[in-house]
Amino acid sequence: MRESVLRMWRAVPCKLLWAFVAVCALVQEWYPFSHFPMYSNFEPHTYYIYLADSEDRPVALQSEFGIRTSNFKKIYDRKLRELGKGKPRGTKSLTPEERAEAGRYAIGFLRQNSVKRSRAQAFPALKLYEVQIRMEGGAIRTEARAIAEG
Amino acid sequence: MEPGAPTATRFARILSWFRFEPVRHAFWELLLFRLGFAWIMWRALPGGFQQYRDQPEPNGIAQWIDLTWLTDPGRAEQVRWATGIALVFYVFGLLRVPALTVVIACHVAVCTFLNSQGAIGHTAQIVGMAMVAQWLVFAWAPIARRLGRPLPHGYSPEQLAVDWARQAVMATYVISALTKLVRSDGRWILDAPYFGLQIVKSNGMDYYNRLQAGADDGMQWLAQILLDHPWSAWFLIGIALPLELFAFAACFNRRTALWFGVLLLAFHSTVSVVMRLGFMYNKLLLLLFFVNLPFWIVWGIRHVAAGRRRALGGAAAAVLTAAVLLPLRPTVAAVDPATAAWVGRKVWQNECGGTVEGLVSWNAGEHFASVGIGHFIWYPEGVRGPFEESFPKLVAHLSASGVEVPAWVKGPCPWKTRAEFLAAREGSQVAALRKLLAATVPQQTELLVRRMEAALPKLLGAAADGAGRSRVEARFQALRATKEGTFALIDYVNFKGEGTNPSERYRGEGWGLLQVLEGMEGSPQGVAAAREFGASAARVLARRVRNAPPERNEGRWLKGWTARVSAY
Repeated sequence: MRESVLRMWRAVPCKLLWAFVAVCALVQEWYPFSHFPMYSNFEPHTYYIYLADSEDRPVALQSEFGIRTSNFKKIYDRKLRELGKGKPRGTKSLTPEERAEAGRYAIGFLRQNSVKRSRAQAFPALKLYEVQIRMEGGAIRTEARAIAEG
Repeated sequence: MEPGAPTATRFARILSWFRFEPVRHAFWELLLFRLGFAWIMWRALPGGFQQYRDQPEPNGIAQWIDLTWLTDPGRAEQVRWATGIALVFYVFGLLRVPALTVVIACHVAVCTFLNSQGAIGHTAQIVGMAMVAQWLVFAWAPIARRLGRPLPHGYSPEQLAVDWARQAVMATYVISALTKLVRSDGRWILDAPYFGLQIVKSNGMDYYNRLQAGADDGMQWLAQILLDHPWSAWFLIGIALPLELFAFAACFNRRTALWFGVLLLAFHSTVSVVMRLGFMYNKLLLLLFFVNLPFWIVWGIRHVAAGRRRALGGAAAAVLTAAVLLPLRPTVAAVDPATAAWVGRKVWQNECGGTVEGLVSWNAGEHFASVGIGHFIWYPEGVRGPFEESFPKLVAHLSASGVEVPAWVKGPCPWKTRAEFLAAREGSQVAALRKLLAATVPQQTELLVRRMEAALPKLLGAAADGAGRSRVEARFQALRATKEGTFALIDYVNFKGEGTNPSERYRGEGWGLLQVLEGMEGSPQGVAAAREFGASAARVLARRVRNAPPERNEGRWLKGWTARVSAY
């Protein structure tokens, strides 16, 4: 039995590849290893976020604060997941107040940790908007709504 | 492929496309890989990290080590200098383990620090994993040498470093596909039409990066098409999943490397346009290690020069296009069809006098039938001799190639003795076997080539030292590059074996393929390599006769042996 398993293992080509796949699956996110979760699940709706100033004028995240919108969304999403932990439908169960809490956290994080934090701190108020994207009557609809201010 | 070829044969040929063939890159290819990879490693070292001041969400090693020292004044310069100097050592092949250790340490520290800023990016992991793979090779190679264990497939450390870097690159695709399957509960392809929403999202986020006017809805039309026509999404987007899932096949041989490299490159380029995502390092690594354009240009030029034109069109760029778009015959990597036909005829001539009758014979004094152009050994039931039975391997190879083999041929030799065979040699069974063998000379040649290829790792494992191994491999490859040399290798390994068996020695000296390769003078190329191989073989065989016990009277065979190898 042991011999036949060994024989089979010897016949497997690209052993390092499979070893790396196993390590990536095990550690998930441990640089340089990753399980590459991007675009791994598609749903009939999605969203992204952006920031606006106190007069609702959009702020260019990368130019102003040195952070890409996708990375800023990851910070917001992480907080949402944290708040949704243990709830029956996860982040989908969150109330508007809880989403606002996540939004304020993300804005605070930006002010404290972004590359151009002094610039972020110079804004008296920043508003976080969610842009919901969904299918409606066969067409793509987008709708922006303010989530939090901080 | 012939239009009338049976479906099974076609299927077998398609399968043979995916055959695992260790890729032995030439010296100049390895040099280009080293230069190219060094450049990619240099580019993959991010800048701007000193502007952060903390690691608010530690990831990877940042959970154990405080990496904020990277933000100290002047540290960014030190990291860049250390990486740059280490890469110079890497390029010149000096102190590769310490050099790569420095490069990896700097790269992982900086990228981990950036990934500890609250969001995990996936831009350069693919480079980091390839670096680790190469480090493992260069760390393992000296240990393996000390333990007397050859590296996989008889690779040199440099060749194995490229092979493992390629495996690391493709591992990122395979794990990505598996993650898709797991996280979508297997519905990833079915849900592909919703990718349209992701296009809108990705373009929206790109707009809010810099508020560039016009970028917002540039791809809305495509998103709508994918949603309106799910089939287009299943085909255009869904194809990514099998492409990633089976990306490991890109490491099987040069053909699959090219195909997967080009397809993945096309996929990344499409996503870059549609979603404004970079994938820069993926593209660079695919171009360098898989598409390997310089090799295909040289390959094309050689084929044109050799008169084996395959609609290449003359221009170097067209070589790649032709290689991608036109079906390459599955036998190209093993041995191209013209060479296979020539070598097959020569072996047939040498072993069987080039006659159909000679394809099935039974020599006096032997306990087995000799079958096929390579005189494959076929034992009757219950009989075993000192030689390995090779005919069942040929039968298995023919079956795998889609050839219909009669059931009785798959069993033991039906004739128990030479006398029985002689009585039956004019019968229908022998006639059918001869017909089968005469019709399958290319497949028999292919098996002989495989046996010859399989000998190389054994030769390298048994060669004297590092320099000896390099010489043996270089001479083997020089012979392998011409039809004369390929024939010489096949014929000699069939004739006198590999020379790796310690019991096949007279006065401590062997006479197999290894000894002939070691005994060659210089590093001749082209047809000269085959001639020098023949001369070396004649010297080795003469030495064998001198060393042989006198009672064996081996001198009686020397003239015939010398004539045979001198014909190389």
